[in-house]
Amino acid sequence: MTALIFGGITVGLYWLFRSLYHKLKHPLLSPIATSGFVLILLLSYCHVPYHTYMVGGQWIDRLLGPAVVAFAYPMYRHRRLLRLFWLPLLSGVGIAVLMTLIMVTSWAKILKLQPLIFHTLLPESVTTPVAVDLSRELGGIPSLTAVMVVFAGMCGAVLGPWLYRWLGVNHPLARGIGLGSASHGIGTAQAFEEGEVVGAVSTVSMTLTALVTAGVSIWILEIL
Amino acid sequence: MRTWLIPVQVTGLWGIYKSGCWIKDLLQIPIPGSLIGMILLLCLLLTGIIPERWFAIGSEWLLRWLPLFFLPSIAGVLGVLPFLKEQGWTLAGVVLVNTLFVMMISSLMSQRLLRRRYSQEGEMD
Repeated sequence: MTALIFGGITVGLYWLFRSLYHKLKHPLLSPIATSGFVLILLLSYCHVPYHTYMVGGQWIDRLLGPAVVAFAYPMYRHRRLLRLFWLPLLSGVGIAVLMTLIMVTSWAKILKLQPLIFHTLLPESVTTPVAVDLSRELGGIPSLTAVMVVFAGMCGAVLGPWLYRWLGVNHPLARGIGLGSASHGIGTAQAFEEGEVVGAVSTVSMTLTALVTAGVSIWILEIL
Repeated sequence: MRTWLIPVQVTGLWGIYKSGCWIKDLLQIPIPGSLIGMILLLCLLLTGIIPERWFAIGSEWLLRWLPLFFLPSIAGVLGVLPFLKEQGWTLAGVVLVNTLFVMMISSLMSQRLLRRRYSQEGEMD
């Protein structure tokens, strides 16, 4: 019964805020942020402990693994894009991953962050389902990583168009690569607003960013 | 719509995910099993061992509802709420600066590479 209630609340909230987002289309109303915020408010207001919530939540959580596997499909469908533009794609994503890791490491040194927080922040630019796994792998706090990842997505999706205008980035592929490699799924939703091509490139960049970060971040920890 | 295919295909994708986890444990690779599963499926699709239609509907469904599946992870911050109150602003600041800087570098760099490529192709015409 508990499982049904909490599962139902989660699905219901998400469905509600997804419909709202589809009406208004503003990245600040990104359904994961709004429904996540309301869910946390609701659980803390009703004093529901996390493990009680997870009696229902775990059934939803279990679909994350197969969902990451499903990313193979967009990659397969856009394989022509990858073959044609492998150089700008790989360089754009490569430099993005490198900069993220270097910057997080530097911030950790400057602000004297605990190792736990440093490990939590490392997968910050990676799509949430993979970031959660990576955070666990690196020894961070997965749920805190998830919140930071969603925030990174919103920053990029809201401020990205301004940034591009200011920098004069007008090539559709470059716009997609930047959005996908810095702000993953939420950035990609924004990219699809600009057009099919920008969205496709953003999807591919997001997936590549996840792969490259997973390959490199463990390494970084060993070097340090 | 053949909706009954969705649970069947999702179960299949779950099987590939489990194989990824199994490969991870077997070879002791420090990469999440889900990503290994994704690479596995991509290879199977590219080599034509698995036809595209086998998991097409299931994967489309999973990706359309993806954000829902990580809501439980988001709710997990309930456990670290005091911590978030104390350091949340610092972390948010770091993430904001990083995101914009990374987006700037990667888009400018790929635009430069794209322009060069484009002009070379233009000369060939």
